[in-house]
Amino acid sequence: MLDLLVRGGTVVFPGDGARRADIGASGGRIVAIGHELGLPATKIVEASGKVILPGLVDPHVHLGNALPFEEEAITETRAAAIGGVTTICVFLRRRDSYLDHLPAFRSAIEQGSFVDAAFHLQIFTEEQVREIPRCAAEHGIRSFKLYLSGIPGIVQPVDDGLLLEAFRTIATLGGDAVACVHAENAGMVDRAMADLARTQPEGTLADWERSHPAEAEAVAIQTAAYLALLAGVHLYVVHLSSAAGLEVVRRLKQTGSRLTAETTSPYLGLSSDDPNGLLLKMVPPVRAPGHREALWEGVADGSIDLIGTDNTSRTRAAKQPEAGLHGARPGYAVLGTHLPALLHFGYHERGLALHVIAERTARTPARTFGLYPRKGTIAVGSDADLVVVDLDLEKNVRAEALGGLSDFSPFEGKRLRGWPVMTIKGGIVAARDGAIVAEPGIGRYLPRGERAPAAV
Amino acid sequence: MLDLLLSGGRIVVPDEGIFEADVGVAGERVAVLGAPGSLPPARQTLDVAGKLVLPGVIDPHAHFGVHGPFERDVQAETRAALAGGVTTIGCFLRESVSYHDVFERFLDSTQTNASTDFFFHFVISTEDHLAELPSYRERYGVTSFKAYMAGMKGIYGPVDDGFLLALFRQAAVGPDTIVCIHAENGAMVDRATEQLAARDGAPGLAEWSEARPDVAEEEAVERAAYLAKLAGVRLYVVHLNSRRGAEQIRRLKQGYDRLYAEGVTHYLSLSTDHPLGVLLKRVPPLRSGADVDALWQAVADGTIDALGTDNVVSSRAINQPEQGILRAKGGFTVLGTHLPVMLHEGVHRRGLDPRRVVETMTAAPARLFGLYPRKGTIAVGSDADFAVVDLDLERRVDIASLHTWSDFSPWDGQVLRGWPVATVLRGQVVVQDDDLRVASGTGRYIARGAAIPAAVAS
Repeated sequence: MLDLLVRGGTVVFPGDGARRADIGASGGRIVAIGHELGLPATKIVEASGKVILPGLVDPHVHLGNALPFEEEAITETRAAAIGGVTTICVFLRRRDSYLDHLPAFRSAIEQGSFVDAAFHLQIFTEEQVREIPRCAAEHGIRSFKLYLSGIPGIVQPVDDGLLLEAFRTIATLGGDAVACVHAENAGMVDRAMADLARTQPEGTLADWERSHPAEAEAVAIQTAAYLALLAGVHLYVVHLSSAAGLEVVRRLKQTGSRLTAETTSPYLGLSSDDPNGLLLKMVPPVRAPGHREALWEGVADGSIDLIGTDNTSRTRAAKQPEAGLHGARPGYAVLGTHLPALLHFGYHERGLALHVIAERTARTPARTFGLYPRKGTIAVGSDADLVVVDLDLEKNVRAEALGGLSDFSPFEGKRLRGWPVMTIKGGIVAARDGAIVAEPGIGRYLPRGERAPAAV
Repeated sequence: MLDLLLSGGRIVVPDEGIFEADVGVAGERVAVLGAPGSLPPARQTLDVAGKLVLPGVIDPHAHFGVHGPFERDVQAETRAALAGGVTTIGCFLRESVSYHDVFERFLDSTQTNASTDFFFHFVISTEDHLAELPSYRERYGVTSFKAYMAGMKGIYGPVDDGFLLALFRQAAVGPDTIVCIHAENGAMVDRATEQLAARDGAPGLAEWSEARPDVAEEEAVERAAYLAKLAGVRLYVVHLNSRRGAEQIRRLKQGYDRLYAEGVTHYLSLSTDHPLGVLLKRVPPLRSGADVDALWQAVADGTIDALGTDNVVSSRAINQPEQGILRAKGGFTVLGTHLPVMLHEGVHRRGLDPRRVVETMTAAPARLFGLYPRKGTIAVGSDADFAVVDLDLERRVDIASLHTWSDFSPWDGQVLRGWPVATVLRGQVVVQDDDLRVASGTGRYIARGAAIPAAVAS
């Protein structure tokens, strides 16, 4: 007897294609995939006319900016689950020792989360660099992030000396370890920010791009790639935002760099001429439409390996768009719009195949961060993380319907076509028709690496 | 009547070749080139039979006044330069105040004390410098500028990449401007130096090389070239010193044809195993013998465009090698031995074509820095600056005969093959038979860019 049978849908196999198939799950895992399985099941989900994607793996999430971490572990994973995201990779941020805090972070996930979560550690200090091996050994953390440029009031950058040291330390963990970088050149951004503040004190969102020039992204990627090559570490460029950055990524990949590039669904779905204006303020910026189109080309041709959200939930009161271009804070909640935005702007508007979307949003993130094949695909033995999608369902984006803490969405008011109607996490129906139907705490912390199976 | 005739020699004309020809000089310029024996008599004849006549060597990279009074360095080091066949020097001015406040003083001081012709590069390190850059070009004929990506400890901090890009854009005002870059990654150097400081023992030149690692050069070159290409400015990477740096330049040149690199005497001849050890501390450091060989390969294949000295005269008492590599001062005199060391190492030891070596020391810097064809070649109308060379003369370097105020040379005691035997500066025979006959103040300032025609007309 199966625990669950998802029947009659069209299953999207990442990087492969879509076929009519039934999916059977038991004990939280997929145990059977086939045409008209006809097996008995405790619960049957009728999915005819729908497509089924692997639950999305969002490689890039921040929690704890608007509310305490343990609260956002509930609210924002609720938005994730409703939106079809079943695994999140969360960037933790501390300036002291992570070893003192990881148990609490893990516990917050296990007690509150609706989705599974892995952690990346943001590295700022010498002490944190030294503790990387212990964090890996004791908590199964295999990915770390460094900022080449800071975000005033939020994070500090590391210099190239510490960056190289961190890369070398990460490389000692093994071939599966990943060094993530926020790649913008600090000096160029600092100067451009000061220039913009002087020349455009009353600027609009369209001006914000000039404070974080595309070339600052491009040259920082180049620098990081050089140092990563020296260290022999796998480099992961987060939130690629510009055509110039993409060009460097392409060149580096041609010369054999071990480089994975991520962009985000807001950079693919939005541009700086958007009527929502400063609600879209972000670092790096949402740029002019030409950049957005270049990024779509990168997604299509594989130069951009995967797509995340860079979800940084804020309330409108904290965002402070009324404080103007320079006063408004960067960040927005986008977990709930991640999949609809990609279906609407990618599949419907640009003809991007569903199996490519699944590849970029599920399988590649899972592979990159050591979660595959448990996560990121639809295969016998994989976790039964599935999202049932109505490709033709149209809805206006309304923040209050997204399930998270935020009272605005950068996609606010846009009519998107293609929405999840059911999300299954580990064989449990977590969300249905835009509402959460499971209890908090069904999510699990995901340790990674060789020790991961035992720990799980 | 010609004022000077160089007869019986073989002239080296960069890009053209080596010819048996006599050179006739009228006033300060070359008036006529002719087949041997074909030229009319002159007031003075220099018999250069069996010798090579080179354009006067141009050193685009010298510092004066680093370890003592500017005037003293100019006076002594330009004499040493002339004795070594160098007739024009590009001198870096490194001031934190506006150059409008100091240019006249430096000009007067140099015109009073210099024995070679000279031009200035300005180090750009402040917002005022940046804003004033176009006026430096217009008022002083200064078309070359410099920035230090890693700063210079105790002198000033590094400029960040935002400043650098602004400088590149500001300097990209005309086809004749060029930015010189000290390309080291500051943070990588700082970290590696701290690591050396934390180690036990008495580190030497090899450890110093690790404290300012070659990878810091390789990375910085890539970043600087990227920013230069954004701005479209001509970029001149000074004192390339590592195999890695050379390979980076070679690769980057394929994507940007306004990228140039400089080789420097000591990085092309000295390595970390030198017996003088800490006394030879430099920034950037001396490297391994393999790096030296790779740099010569880069000279041969055109990856390195021009050669200079990075002359920073110093003394044993100033350098204080006994303080250890981290605290010792750096610098040594190079100008007097620049040409013989390059001929010895390049032509004789490594078999480079003498035409290539001469080109990198004359025409190439002249072109890069807006001196050509007034300087850097032997052609009718050019300044009559010559280094007459006996390519096979072997001599032992003797610090006492180099005309410098320094008390040591890295090459002291070494037998070098290929020496200048006479030097001519604008028609005046200033060195002949080991006799240096020049009055301080003979050197002339060369304004460049738009200002050149006026200067030439004078």
